[in-house]
Amino acid sequence: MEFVPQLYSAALRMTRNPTDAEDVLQEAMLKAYRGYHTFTEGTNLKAWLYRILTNTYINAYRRESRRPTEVELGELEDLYLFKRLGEVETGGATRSAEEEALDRFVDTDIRDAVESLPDNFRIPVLLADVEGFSYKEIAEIMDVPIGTVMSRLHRGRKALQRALWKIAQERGIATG
Amino acid sequence: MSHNCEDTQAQVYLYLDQELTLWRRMKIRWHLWRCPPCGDGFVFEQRLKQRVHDGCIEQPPRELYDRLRTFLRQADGTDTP
Repeated sequence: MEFVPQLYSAALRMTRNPTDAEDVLQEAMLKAYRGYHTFTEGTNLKAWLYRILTNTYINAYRRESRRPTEVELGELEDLYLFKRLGEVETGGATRSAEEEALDRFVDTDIRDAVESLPDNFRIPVLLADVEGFSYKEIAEIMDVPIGTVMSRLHRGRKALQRALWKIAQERGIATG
Repeated sequence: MSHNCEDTQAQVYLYLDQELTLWRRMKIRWHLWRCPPCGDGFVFEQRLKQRVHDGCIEQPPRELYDRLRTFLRQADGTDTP
């Protein structure tokens, strides 16, 4: 039960709702217990569990992941959000405008932005930023080459920044 | 923006994800030290990564553990660890 809280958070961000998250978590845990003999002692238990969770989610929601959800990103510059938020006026504070704006995001803003990403982007971003897996581990969990992980992560984070920038404008965090 | 800034910014994720060799890491640190705008950008990206992490974590409700244990016991017909 050690990894349940982490797995639950990941399942929530994948499925986007508590009922489906619990279903995916239950099924994944059952597969983990039943397949525990296939786990090699001394290897990465956490990555093994996330691989099961990710596969369970993808299989259960295959129809959704087949949907053409490829977002039209175009070329987003590096440090996209930083540069946008930097243009926002703050009342002459000494702290940077970008950091102040970042503090004004609430948890639901972050979750909405993450959940707005298509699976291909959302899963690597979750595995890297929330779970702290290395590129090699993410490649194993998602069963894709490391180069694919890197490009999806790169594009996923930019898409996330664009989603956050949109939220910042809607919520009046930024008026730029 | 010098060529060096572009190069550095293109590697921001590799740097923050600790996926660079020590040599390339040191080259970036050297640039960040000499170039405050890039330095601020990197600090921002680091804080954003942390913010995404913190914002995505949610504790499961207490009852979830009970439901999970019951589910596994019934599904497997054995006691769960």
